[in-house]
Amino acid sequence: MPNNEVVMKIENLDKFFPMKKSVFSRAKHFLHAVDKINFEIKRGKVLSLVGESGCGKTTTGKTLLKLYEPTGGKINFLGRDVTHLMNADDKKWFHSKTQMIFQDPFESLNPRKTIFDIVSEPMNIQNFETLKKRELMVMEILKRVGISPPDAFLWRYPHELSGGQRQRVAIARALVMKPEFVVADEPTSMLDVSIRTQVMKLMMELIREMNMSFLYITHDLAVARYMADEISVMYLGRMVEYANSEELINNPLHPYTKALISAVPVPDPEFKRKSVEIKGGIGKPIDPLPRCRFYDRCPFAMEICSQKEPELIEVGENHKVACFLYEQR
Amino acid sequence: MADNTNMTVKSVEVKLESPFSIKVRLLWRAFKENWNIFSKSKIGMIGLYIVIIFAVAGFIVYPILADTVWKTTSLNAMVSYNPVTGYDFLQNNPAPPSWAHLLGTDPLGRDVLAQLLYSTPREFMLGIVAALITVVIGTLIGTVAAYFGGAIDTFFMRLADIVLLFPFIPFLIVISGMMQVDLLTLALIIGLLSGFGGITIVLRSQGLIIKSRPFIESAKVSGASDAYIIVNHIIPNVMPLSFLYMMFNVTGAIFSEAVLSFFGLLNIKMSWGLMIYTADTAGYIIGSNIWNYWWLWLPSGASITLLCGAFYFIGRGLDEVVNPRLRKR
Amino acid sequence: MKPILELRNLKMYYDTQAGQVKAADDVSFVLNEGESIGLVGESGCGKTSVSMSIMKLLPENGRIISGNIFFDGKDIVNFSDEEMNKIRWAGIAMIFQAAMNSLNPVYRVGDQIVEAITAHEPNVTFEEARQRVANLYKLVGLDPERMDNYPHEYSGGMKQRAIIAMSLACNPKLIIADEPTTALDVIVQDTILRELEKVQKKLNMSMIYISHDIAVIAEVASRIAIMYAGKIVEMSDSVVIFKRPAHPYAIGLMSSFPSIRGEKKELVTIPGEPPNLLNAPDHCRFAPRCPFATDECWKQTPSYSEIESNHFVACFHPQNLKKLVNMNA
Repeated sequence: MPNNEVVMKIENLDKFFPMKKSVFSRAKHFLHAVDKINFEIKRGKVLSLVGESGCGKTTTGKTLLKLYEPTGGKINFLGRDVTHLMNADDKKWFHSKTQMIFQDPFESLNPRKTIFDIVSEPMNIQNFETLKKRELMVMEILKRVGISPPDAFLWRYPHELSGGQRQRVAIARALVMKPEFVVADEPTSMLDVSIRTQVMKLMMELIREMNMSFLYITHDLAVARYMADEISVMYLGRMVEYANSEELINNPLHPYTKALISAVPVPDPEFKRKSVEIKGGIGKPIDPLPRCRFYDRCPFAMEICSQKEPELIEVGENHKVACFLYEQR
Repeated sequence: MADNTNMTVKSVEVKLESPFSIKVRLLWRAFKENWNIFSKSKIGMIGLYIVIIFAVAGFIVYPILADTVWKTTSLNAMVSYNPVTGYDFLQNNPAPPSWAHLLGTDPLGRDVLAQLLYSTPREFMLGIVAALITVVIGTLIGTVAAYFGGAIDTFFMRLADIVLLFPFIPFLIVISGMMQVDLLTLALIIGLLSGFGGITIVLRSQGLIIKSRPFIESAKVSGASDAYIIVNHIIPNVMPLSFLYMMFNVTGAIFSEAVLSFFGLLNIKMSWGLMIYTADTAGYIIGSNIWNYWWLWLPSGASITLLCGAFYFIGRGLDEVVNPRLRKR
Repeated sequence: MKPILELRNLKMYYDTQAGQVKAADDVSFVLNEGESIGLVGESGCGKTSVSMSIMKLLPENGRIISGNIFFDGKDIVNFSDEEMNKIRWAGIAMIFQAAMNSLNPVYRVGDQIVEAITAHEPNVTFEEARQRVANLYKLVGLDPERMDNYPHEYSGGMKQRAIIAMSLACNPKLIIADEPTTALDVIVQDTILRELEKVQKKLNMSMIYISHDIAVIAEVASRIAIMYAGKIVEMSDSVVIFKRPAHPYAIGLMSSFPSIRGEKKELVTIPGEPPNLLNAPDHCRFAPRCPFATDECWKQTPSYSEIESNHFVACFHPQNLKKLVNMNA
């Protein structure tokens, strides 16, 4: 398999939600949850979307997996345009190669299904292989994610498992058909500290083993740094900065990224952080004005920032930022 | 954990042989667990006992008595006496309880106890058939409306509003004037009407809660169709609530039947409501007569109250199984 | 320095149907005036149970088995509800987890704080109370003009500030903050943490800060107690604990957090899962997950040893950071 093959590529992806009052009225206002986002993920690579709640990172992930119909733009998966999946064969092909891991392991597993039902469901839906083969595959993946011995768990219900075990089952379910692209939406934020590290390590191992491409959504920059090859920071539906993860952490350019990094508490009592300079709180991107969305809170706001929206520009090797501070260069 | 490791080797084969029998075992276990909760509810158990007593009386005692004591009862050698329909010439009817007629006879010379027992299985049939129809329709429409939302949802909810505001009893009075309403037709009408009414609203709101849970999205990511999700994920999760409402609907159906029979609007041979109707039209439930001829209305009236109450009590007991919050610690 | 709060061998158990849950077992610490102590641990380690015991806000099935809680020199373990009511708010105030949702939506925020003051200090007039609230608003960085707004007009961060203002309303000597920033975004969390630290220093209050996040604790607490399975396993000044953790669990906890400072390090995982506190065993509770456990650890509970001045560890085999690599093996 060529290792620099682009698995997932999106161009100018938009997702607007209409703010409707009832079925009969037409929407006058739109929430621009995802606004002209571009990125590509190569085989075996992990891209992390980072941002505060309401920045559109989860919507981006769900739109990629066709849980939402994109409002505009293109989604290209393994060289095929999958923006609008029309016929059954395309749908089957796409859904058997993409998967998602959810945030809350208490909610993402149907409480009325057994572990076997849950893990084998993707194969049942796709009518994949024979029943016997499916059983073997379920056993194999459960063992791989550390649910062992697997047959002691097959016929249990999710409520009989601990939080960490449940998230392992959710991972097993997502990976049982060996997908090529996985969206993980804050998969460790609900887990306890000691379990969180176990699950993060497990995912890293599996990504390498199966050579999958990952979109890792998180609010925690430290987790993103550990998990991802590249990090993209989102703010109110726009991508404000994009770089290799070490580069982004050590050399942040956008004022928002800087604020985000300086706000992360440091586990070292002797280290004194610079305090965050930005003011106010995060709003909602409803019918946003054509200007930088960070304008109201930015300590470096200039006149031009209120007049038009900055585009992502390349400022270094694989380092892009959407800010007028860097445009003159 | 120690014994889990020991069983790994041998139980792999056992599992692969019959997942079906494991499913049965799981169902049985779930039933036992729920029974444990239900059996702790006093009110539910009282209801269950009453229902069992009526069921035994109607389905076992009556056929035996009809075959033995009441079969060969002849007043003279010429006329054989049918206790449900026949006239006992040996008494001044209505006659108070005696050894020949344990609960006396009605104005038409029929044995009250025999009428009571004869009606019991029919009351059960009516209540359960009506409730089943209600629940099947309510569950289907409720989940479909919840899942698809939009115009389908609006249509069925407005329909439910109309049915709810519908003058139920007057409608049945009109219907019974237009056609011969027997017990099965009545069950059908009641079932249809309440199926499109209040129960859909309740099950729809439950369906909306289930729909928003991540395991639904998890199934969609795997390519599940709408029908698959409704059948495999939403319905199993609203089932407990449906079952609960079924119990309450049995009560409603039996009650409606009693009311309609009392007005003499149904084309049925015998029912508890009809027994009161007979006594009433013959003028025995007026003024001081009420207590002089108590056996004409008290046994059937008490039966209606008891059986309706019993199903309601079972519903209350099931409520504790379905809603863990109601459980006592 | 005068101690404001002292816990001596506090045992708090919950009685459940399945047995006794030893939520806090032999918990002892001293908190001086103006000092802040951080309680760190994973969910279910008993950190919230400790704070609830101090406030004596225990659920029906929870009780303090033995031990003493000295507040301001008096043992409050046997205080009646009435006596406790005088201490709550005026002596010890508490900021609960997700407290921002505890504001009543139908009253103005300022009025809710005024009411809290007048309820505890009956001789304060309405005007005086309002003046005090205005001062508190300034103290926590809120505009006093927002006093007459309703909770829904506040953002999440502002609500949390208002809650902090409310907890300060009666000039408490001790504040217990139970995960006050867990639900907040990182930038808001940062500003709240700074506010809390500033206020605590300014008013010379004592504070117990409870969190699962050691990075947050590192920033706000001068002393740290690490809890595991109902027991404090290690306690010392925060600088000492971060430099020279000695308990294997503490070492694992410190090294399992990804950081955004310094070099990207391999994360250390603590194997296994936190134990169930139901019928907790008599031996060291960390033994099943501990790579250094010996027979001794499986036989009895280790007592505290002072490995250096003011650094207490409950472990038979205190380790140092260098051996940490072995833990992953």
